[in-house]
Amino acid sequence: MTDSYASKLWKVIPGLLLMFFIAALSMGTKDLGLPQWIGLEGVLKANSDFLGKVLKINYVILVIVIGMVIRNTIGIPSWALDGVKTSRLFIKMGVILLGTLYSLAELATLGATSVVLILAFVFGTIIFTMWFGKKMNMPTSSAACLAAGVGVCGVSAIVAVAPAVRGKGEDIAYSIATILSFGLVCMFTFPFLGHLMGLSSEQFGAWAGTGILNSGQVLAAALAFDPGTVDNPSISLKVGEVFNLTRVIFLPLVVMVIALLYTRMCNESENQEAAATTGSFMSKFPLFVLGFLATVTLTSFGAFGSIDPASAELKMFRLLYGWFFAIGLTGLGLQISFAEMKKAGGKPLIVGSAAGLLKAVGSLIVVLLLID
Amino acid sequence: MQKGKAVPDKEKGKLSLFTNERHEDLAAIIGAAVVMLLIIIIAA
Repeated sequence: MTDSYASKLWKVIPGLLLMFFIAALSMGTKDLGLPQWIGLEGVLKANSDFLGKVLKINYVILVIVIGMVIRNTIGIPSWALDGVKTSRLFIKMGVILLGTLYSLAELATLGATSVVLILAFVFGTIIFTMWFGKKMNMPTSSAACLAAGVGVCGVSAIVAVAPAVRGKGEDIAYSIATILSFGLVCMFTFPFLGHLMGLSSEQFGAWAGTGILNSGQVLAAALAFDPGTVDNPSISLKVGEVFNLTRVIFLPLVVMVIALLYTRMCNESENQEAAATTGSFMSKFPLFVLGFLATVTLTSFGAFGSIDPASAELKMFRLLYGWFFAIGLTGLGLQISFAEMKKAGGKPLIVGSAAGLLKAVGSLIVVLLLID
Repeated sequence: MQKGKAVPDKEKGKLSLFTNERHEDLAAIIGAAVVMLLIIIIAA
């Protein structure tokens, strides 16, 4: 039976309200005109220097943890499932609004460093993962899906590469579970290590944007390191997303390279099935990145008023993307299953973690050498 | 509260409201554009 749009919309509302409630519980209701509730983040900061100021536990970590706890104890309530499915939509809308933080002049400055770093690390990681996967006797299609996830930007890259390497359902599931498990460790350890090493916000953003595998986790780590305010937006988020989105821009090229590597590396039986469908890779390009680029262009040409100091419109956009991210990341937390993570055990986890660790350490060294 | 079951692993890849990634991207672009327009109108 096909649901009408109105009925689909109606089904989405309960889950959306649940995510909004968790976001408001964590962020506080000051932005909603109710300054009485300072949010769990505010409560933590007021009561624990260690949690609030040393570990810098903020609403980003809180919404994900609350989501994970719900998912792995009582499960996602069935009435909320359709609403939770909108979480990626909110994250993508948040990324598009995030474009109001950038101007083309700034992107050109950041561009040269990020492009060199990204090209080196994306393709270096892909080649290493496929080589190590082969050494560990992983099926080539499985190693190729994992290489896409570890090398580029997580889930969307795996989904984009899978058809080009004839990836099976289990290849995709294991790759996703591996990068989410490894990324989860990164999401919680990167901000802590960043503070421990005294990284600047720019350095941390570049490190997170290069070293962390998943777009949502880059976002979470960058915001956890430096939450920023409406008047002084998070620098680490700004830099991290430029690095993160730069690698997303290379996705079509990555799909083509992995498909070519796959046809060279797969064995005879796999080769008979392999008809690398590189011709369709442009259709896999994530369109919302174009929305982000359009927002950057509009902001650069003053469509939303003055950039410095920020106009009322720009301030409102920045306030809103924080809420979109909080709602979307709540949904992300609600989708992290410990059972799914356990599935990543074995070869994919070893290969993915080795490649991810190598990328994290390598990018930290390069960032420390190249960025002040 | 109705107690829900954890989403089965095989459903993980389907945790989007949209059957097609491209539709979700388009919806995000349209949604963000509507939000921007509303804010511009309100601020004007």
